[in-house]
Amino acid sequence: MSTVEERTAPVEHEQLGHHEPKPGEHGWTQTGISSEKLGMWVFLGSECLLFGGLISTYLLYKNTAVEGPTPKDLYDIPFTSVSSFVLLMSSMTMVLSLAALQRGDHHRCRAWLVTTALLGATFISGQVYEFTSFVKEGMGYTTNTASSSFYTLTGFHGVHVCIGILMLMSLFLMSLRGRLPQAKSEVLEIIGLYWHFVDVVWIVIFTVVYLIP
Amino acid sequence: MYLLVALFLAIVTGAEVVLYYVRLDFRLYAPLLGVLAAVKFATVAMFFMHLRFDSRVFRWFFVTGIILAGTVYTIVLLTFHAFNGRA
Repeated sequence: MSTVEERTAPVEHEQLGHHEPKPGEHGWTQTGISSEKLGMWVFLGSECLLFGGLISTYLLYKNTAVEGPTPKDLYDIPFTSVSSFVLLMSSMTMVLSLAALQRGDHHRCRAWLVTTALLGATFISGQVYEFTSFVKEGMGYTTNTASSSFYTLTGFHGVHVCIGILMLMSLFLMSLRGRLPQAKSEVLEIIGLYWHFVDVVWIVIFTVVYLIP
Repeated sequence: MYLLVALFLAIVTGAEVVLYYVRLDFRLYAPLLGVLAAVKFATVAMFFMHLRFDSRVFRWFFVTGIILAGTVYTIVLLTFHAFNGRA
């Protein structure tokens, strides 16, 4: 019987269950670096510029409203803190799902995948509730420049989370149909990278937008 | 170990929220929150995204994106005087 620590211990690349392709085989590269994974990292690097632009726009406009309530007048910090915690924990369940697949434990892999998707859906539900309550308080998308930049930034992040949930559910279905074998754990790892990125972006948004006045 | 990392992240998030309610002087409060966010960001990237164990090439691509975004947008914000309320 293995302990929780043993079951979830980090595994070095060589021990991750990756089959090292030989020259001529599918997936072989001269550098020894997976092209798919490299592509995801390049994409994530470019996403830093997208979110950097949206955060900067919010910082520029947050104090320029001439009428109507601004986001900082309406923030519910305890509520958003719980949402942030939920998204943070979804990163843990995501990595536990990957660790399970690398061990060949498909049942646990699927369980953690669904848990991650549910945590992501909880976060999105919180965001929908927050947006709805803001609109009821009189802060619509076009009320002022601060509200427009706030909704654009957090809305873009929400769309990223939704895309992540769709990818997680696709992986779940693939696993159910036996199309996600242990040897293909890199697919889950790449989707996991996207999910963790969405999480780290929220870490920045939560601090810069919500906590710093 | 992933559970320990998650626990650490939860504690740092809790510390951020406590700081929000303590209302320290802004010159201390803002940098402190910035440091805590950077610690959380780095922890997720290093352990959950496996940057600590994976090829350094991945790390360079990601860090390049962050540095590029940080530099470009800091210049933009400084140009528009975003940090002294004249934006």
